[in-house]
Amino acid sequence: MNTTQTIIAIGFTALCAVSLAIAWRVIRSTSEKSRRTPADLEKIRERENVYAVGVVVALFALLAITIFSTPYGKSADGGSQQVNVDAFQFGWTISPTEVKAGESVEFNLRSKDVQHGFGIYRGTELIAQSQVPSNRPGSDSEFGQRQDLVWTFDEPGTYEVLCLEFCGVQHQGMQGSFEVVP
Amino acid sequence: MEAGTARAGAMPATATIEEARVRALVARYFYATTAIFLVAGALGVVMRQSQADIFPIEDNFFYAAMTAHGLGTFMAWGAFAVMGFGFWVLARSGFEMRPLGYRLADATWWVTVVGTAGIVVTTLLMGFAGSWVFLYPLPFFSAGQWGDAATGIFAFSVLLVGVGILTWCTAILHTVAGPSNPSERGGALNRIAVGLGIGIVFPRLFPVRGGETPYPVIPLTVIAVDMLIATLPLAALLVIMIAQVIDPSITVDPLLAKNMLWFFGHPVVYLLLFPAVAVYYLLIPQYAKRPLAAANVIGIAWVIGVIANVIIWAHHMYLDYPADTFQSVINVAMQPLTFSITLVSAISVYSLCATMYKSDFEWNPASGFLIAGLIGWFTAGLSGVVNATIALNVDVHNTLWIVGHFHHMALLNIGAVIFGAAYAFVPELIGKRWYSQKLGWWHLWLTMIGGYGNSIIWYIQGLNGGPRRFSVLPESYDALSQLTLPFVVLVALGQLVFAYNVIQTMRGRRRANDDKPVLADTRQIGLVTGALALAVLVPGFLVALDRLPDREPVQAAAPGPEKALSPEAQAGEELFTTTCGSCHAFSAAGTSGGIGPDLDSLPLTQERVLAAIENGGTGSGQMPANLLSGADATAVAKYLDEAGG
Repeated sequence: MNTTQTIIAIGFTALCAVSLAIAWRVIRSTSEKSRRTPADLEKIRERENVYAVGVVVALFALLAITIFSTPYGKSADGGSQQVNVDAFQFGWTISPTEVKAGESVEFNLRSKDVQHGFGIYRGTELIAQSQVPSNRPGSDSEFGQRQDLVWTFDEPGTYEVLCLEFCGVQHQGMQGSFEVVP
Repeated sequence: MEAGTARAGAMPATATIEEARVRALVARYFYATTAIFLVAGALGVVMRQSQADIFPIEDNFFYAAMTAHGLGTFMAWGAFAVMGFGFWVLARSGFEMRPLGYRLADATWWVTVVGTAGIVVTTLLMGFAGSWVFLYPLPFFSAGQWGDAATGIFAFSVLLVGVGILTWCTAILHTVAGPSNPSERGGALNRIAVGLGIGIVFPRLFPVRGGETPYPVIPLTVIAVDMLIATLPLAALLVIMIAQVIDPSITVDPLLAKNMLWFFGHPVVYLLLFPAVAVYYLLIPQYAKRPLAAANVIGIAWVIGVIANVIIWAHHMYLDYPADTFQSVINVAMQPLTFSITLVSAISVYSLCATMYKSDFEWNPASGFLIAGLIGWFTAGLSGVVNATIALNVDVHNTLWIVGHFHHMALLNIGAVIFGAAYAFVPELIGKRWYSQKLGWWHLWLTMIGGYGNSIIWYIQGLNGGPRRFSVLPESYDALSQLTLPFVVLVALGQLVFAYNVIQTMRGRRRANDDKPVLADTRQIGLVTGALALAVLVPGFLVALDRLPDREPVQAAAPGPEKALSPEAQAGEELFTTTCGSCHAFSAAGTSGGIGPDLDSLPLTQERVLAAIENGGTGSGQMPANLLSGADATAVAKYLDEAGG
């Protein structure tokens, strides 16, 4: 797991635990002797508005924290190293296959046929990914639209590429690799 | 169609359909959903065991089964179950069906049955394996696995289902706009506005008899309006695809096609959820024996919901941002819009919990399933918020996390509500009591324990980078895939118990002395939940933390006898494995791709290989020309020459 995936794992587990605890409390309450009077129901309705405001505030907070971290801005900056990635059913042509660590890389992703997904892996860790736009059938150009993924690799080594958009019968066999050198 | 339906047209506009006929109609929807669900579910078991490498199935059959499973469970639940129960919820909320609505409801059933049959035939028999999203232009790039005829018939079948959705929406709106609507002003528009819950927000503009809008009508009206809007672009896309089968020069821009698909694809998920919410609004107050504890804010949430639902599709396309397009702007705008639609769920869950809290709640398999579904709704919603956030989506997009999310949502929320509704409604529909309550409780616990085990493992595999829609997963995920199997068996057992219970109930049987619930005591529930958490989470996270062993490269599968290779040929070997191996089997390199010719059975010379690389495939024309060029092409040719037999 990378950092974001670890945050997701912990956050999701914690929030699920809290909701299960609340569900437990609500379920238990149905076997209690003291039934609520109608007046309490009115109170519940008032609290519903407070709760709704709380949900909105929480969503705005999540929005404020995350909305500036999109993959789109980065691609506009370009990278100091260029790598052409051509996807096809069912393989990758990556050139050059060697990039330097610590310097940003701009992957120029193009597809000869259907939509593919360019997923960069180290072992079982998904490092980065982007979609590869498909080519229009019968089009005169060899490739569809270009999409860029900009990434900086800190650790040297072999990185593997898997296809992350279902593209047909050999989707699972569509693998590639490149080297990151110091 | 029955003779009675035809006669109905001659009746005056105020005539209503007798309740007995509505019951029979909804029962027919229930039988269809149960049959299709069992078949589609069985396909799921076949796929998961194949991924766990027990009895592996052929790649294209895996993907065809995946297509049938995805669309099949949708037909079962999104079409037949929620559609049929939707009519019954309206009937029970005081909205009487009129002749036109009945005829549309009847037509919806038939059209959807035919569409479903077409999907089954094109996927399982004709090999169409484009996945349920049939992402354009994939249906036309089948790599020789299915023909354009299969694509055409498939597109036509899905179009029929789309027509079914449109007729259902019209039937719902026709019933909502009828005279039994409590709008004081009357008239179709006022009545639909009241159906949308606008009377709660603006009580003076849209006065309601008795001052209370019947809550169950709101989600049904909202989704009927939205699906009318959302289905039309999909229908257009399908018509273009059918046209392309006939005349290949008719094509559509792939990015536009993807937007059209998801413009439908998002709301159609809510075609599952919103009618389920209607079931909740009807049944939870019934079991809690008090009215729904809802404030005006629930009306505001639904007004936001009906609008937001059709303008948030791009959250399925967060990683599509081709150069020189506006897609990234659309994507960014749709994150806050997507957040806004969670209000409907968040507030509904609160109202339902508040209604239930400290009530004299009646526990039975129906209410048990509904409450289990409520927990599934909220927790699956949490993983949905992760997916809806661009910064987090980047790290889970198209991984098994997503598969975990929608099975959590589909089985443990929607499925649970549908089962709950079945236990509540079937006796009303067919006039027979359930064969066994106890088997209902077993169904509940087997489904929940199996379902959560299943989804939690997918979540863990996904956060560890496990890719989605792989017939064969990289080896490092095998341990967890195998750990899933006992849970898959539990889910399957649960559904067999359900099927048996349905059949016995239809036969009018009753099981004696079985009213004592299974695991209905809260202490037992806690024990089971805790055991489940330990059984899945602990090994799961141990495996995850231990940084599963790195994936074995594909060529390790079956290396042939080693031959001494020149340095150039060695470079060629690497290029061959990455560029050619996924389509060509070649034992020296250990590749086993089955698309192109088996290179072990061909005499390989440098010239021949170079020519093939330069010109592309001469057979079925699948291999593109010039995949490699210059020194790379020569290296591969040298390698095949030296390593070949």
